Amino acid sequence: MNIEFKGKTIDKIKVGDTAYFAKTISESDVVQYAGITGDVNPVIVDEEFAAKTHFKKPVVHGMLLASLFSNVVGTKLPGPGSVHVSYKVSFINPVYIGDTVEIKVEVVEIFKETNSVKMDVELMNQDGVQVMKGMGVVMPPTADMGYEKAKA
Amino acid sequence: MAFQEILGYSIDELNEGDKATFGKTITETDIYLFASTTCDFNPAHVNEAYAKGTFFKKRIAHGMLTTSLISNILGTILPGPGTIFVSQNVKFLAPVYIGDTITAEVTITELNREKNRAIFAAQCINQDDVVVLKGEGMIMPPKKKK
Repeated sequence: MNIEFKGKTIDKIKVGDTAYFAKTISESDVVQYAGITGDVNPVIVDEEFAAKTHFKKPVVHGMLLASLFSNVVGTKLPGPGSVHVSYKVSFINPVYIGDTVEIKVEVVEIFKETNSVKMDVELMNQDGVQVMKGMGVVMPPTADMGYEKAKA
Repeated sequence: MAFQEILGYSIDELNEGDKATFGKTITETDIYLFASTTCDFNPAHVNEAYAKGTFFKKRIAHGMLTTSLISNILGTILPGPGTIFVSQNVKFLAPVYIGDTITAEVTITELNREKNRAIFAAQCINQDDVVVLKGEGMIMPPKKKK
């Protein structure tokens, strides 16, 4: 078996191609994300504060959830070497620490001239509730990219 | 600590044109922590040997990591604590490399006081004044008791 360390080039992508990634959002994810970004909104990091909001307990950063889109694009579809061009997301329902979320990314349009693909994205929690949806434009890796080119 | 004291600006305290910035040097640590939090180990971000063979020539920061600096402003400065993120729309215009200092800027562009919704424009600029990211979004500022 020779697993290529490279994502799909545009010629190998079809409309309807789908990829998933699921993860239980842990407290360490939220704390680490707050540390990286400096986003310490009390809705997220302050239990006493959050108890008084209509969410009743701390919620997960919306952008942490949106970042799972980057995971699928960068590791699965198109995969390694892909570049995110733009995206658009709506946060529909809150996600709490301990929730398991699954992201689904689906190719809806292919633009060969500009080496880019349009993808729909949807995030569901363990109860089948949609928590985020949106779309994005991504550039898949090109055939000559990676180690060989680096050595050349 | 009084609950009301730590809240950010409510919609009645906001005006169109209000602006806030937040700057941060993006370190290798940020990128690796972000990769592990999101499980996004795209070699473009974490593999220098591979990245040499890409258009960018070296490791770049996750686009979503740069976007997250906007989330920082919304949640801590403008409108600040208690703000809820509703939607966002972003375009990545230029790469961000390890060591780049990125300044995010958020400007309130539209207010709907009845529905407690605010629209903002956002951009991120690097140390050479290159706009690396542009976007807009909708938020719900914190509500305050009168």
